[in-house]
Amino acid sequence: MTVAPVLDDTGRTFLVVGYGSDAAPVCRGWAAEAERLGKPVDLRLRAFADGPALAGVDALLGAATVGARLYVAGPGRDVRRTLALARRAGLLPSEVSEVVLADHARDVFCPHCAATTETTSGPGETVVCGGCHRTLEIRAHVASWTGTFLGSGSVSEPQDGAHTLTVPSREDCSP
Amino acid sequence: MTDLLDATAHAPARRRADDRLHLIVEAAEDAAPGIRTVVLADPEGRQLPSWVPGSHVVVDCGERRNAYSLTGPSLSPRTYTFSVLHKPDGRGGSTWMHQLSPGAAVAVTSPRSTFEPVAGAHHHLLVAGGIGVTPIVSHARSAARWGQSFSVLYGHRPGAAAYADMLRQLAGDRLETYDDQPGFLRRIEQALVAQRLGTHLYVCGPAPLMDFVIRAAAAAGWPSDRVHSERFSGEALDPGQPFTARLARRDRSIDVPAGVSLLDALEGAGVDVPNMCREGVCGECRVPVRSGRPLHRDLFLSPDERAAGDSIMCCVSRSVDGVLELGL
Repeated sequence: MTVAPVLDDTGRTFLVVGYGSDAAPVCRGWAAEAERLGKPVDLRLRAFADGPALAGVDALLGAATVGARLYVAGPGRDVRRTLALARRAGLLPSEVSEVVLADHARDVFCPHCAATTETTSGPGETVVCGGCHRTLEIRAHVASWTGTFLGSGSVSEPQDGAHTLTVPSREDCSP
Repeated sequence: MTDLLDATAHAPARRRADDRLHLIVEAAEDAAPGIRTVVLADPEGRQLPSWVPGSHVVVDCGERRNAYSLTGPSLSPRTYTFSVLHKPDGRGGSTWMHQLSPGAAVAVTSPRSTFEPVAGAHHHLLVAGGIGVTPIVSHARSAARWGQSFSVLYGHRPGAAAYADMLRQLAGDRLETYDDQPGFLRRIEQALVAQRLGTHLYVCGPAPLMDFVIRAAAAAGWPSDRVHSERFSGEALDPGQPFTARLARRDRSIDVPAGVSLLDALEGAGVDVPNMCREGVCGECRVPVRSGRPLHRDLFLSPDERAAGDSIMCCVSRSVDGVLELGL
């Protein structure tokens, strides 16, 4: 059972963002606690961290000032996408708290073509890149700036020539 | 262009065995009433070590050693520049500095950094009070040079706005100066609730101002990892309670009476501890603690390091318990 972090009462304002119905009671709990402290709170409940939802959060972060704390609840993928926005907005780990209520879906970054592919596969498993169609092995590494798992050319499956990484020769590098 | 062909001009300044840079005063002039700006250079014109914005050098000032923030260019500098506020009732360091004239020999440490800008900050809010402006100048210079977002709030005595012209050049209308204290403090409070996410706060000035800013930042919800401060002088400390320092590696015990620092007691017992400022600022005299609870009174250790309780700045800090066991 996931325990939601308690509200950091040293914050001056609170942004509370939740995704999906399971997140709603957790987020309402945080919002109620902020109100009890007499501090401003902005509560956003959305179904998914899709484009419009994330644009809304981004606008919220853009208007926020230092002193704000961000609380996020929802499925892992949605939480990671939101934390990545927060990171890019300049929030420090000490200003962000999150609770992951389920972790079925994840975004995988392809370092070969830079596409991001959604999948229900987990670290150690594979996914076919939606951009270049390579089979990517999902690494356990999550990039905090994008919220994506790192994919890499799978070594467990043979690749045809088109999928081979081309390394420039020494001559190519000479001026 | 001759500099490019002159090997000595780019060779680093020589350090002697005591690890100090032996420099000469190239210029010394009054920057504002009671504030003297000193420019030091290598006697043979060699380049001096580069430094991180916010750095200071510790200068041998006669009997004293004082730390002064560098204000000039920080990359491959030919000179070190700093400014000294004359404190006639101080311990003599500033009086010594104010008597310096061009050509005088001065020994300094290499630049030391405890107040550097945070890489990745979205904005730097720089707050300076009085002579505390000096490290803020180097922060502003660095931010301007690298095109980073910054703003400066500078409070000073009427007519004693050292570096205001230089800051104006660096910061333009991003500089606000105040010569009335209530107005300055109100503006700080106002600024602390209006900074965009990702801003870091830097403050240097008299202890009461720094205390005010740090309290106001906390009240405005700033986490401590966004708040950076530089203190140069320890506050007057009470004599404290007597305790016993147990030296684990020497199997000895030393009494530390009230009014005597642990460092003085150690030295008195023939135990040498490297030290420099002797007022809890520089971090040089840190010694390991094996058991007992340190009573931290320094300005150097971070909150986490204090909480760990496994080291102590022996120049100012004491013991909560009757016996403090040290790894000496």
